[in-house]
Amino acid sequence: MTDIHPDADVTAPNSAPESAPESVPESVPEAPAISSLEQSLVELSPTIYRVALSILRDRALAEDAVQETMIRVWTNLGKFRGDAPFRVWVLRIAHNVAISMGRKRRDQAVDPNDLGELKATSAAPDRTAEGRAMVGELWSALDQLDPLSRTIVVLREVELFSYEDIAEALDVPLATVKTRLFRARRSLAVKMETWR
Amino acid sequence: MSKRAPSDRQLMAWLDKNPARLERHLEQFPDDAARVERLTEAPTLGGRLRETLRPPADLLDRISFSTQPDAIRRDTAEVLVDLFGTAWRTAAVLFIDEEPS
Repeated sequence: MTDIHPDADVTAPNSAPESAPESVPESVPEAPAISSLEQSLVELSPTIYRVALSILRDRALAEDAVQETMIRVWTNLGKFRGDAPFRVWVLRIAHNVAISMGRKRRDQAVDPNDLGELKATSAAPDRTAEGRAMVGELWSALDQLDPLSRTIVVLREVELFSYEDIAEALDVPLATVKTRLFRARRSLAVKMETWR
Repeated sequence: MSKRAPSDRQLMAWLDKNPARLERHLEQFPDDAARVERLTEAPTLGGRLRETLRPPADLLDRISFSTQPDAIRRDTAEVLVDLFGTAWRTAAVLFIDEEPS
């Protein structure tokens, strides 16, 4: 696994220039913009949840991560310079929040069985037995991947992010994003073949 | 002099056994990423992942309070102002609101 952003400022804009161009807003946008950002944030909540869940593999923790991300985004709006798309900035915060929560959980875990425990199906009673089995199998396939690869595959395959936006959000080189995605796809596709 | 492009088989071998080598190659020859992309396509993966990672239907209800602390504080302040205002107006009617003689 590649650990990224160990102690990074989770709200730091990615590759922000030293001095922002004059047209880039330096402070919190005005009221109408805030309202629209709030709406964007709400719309991004499922994406934040999926990214957090892919890292933490625990639905309750993923919800906590969504909440924590919302708070951090909201309290750091003034740091958003607009040099990356808003959703990329938010996802970068979400990724760092989830990584940090995962690290904290790992440090606090007493029982080794608590690590990586999947509670994915318990909150989805509406699924059919077949659906639950598929979910369980895909989870175990995802489990074989490192957290960075899981996040990349989610951002690309589910959220349809561009490679460039993924690289920016996760602060990893473009070639790394592609290689991890291709490997993840291959690994998951092998598992999916067995379902046919 | 141009270097001969690696075959699809070579690219996939790097992907499976030597991803660092593939990564270096893609850094130098980004166009080859499209080939690996095509070779690893998994059309149903996105849908299955979406289902697997589906958030609870009431996710927004569970987290909505965290996005609206200002609104909550504003509402609370308005209630307090109203309560204080009512008491003040009552006191004014009883004790202050008299015409000086």
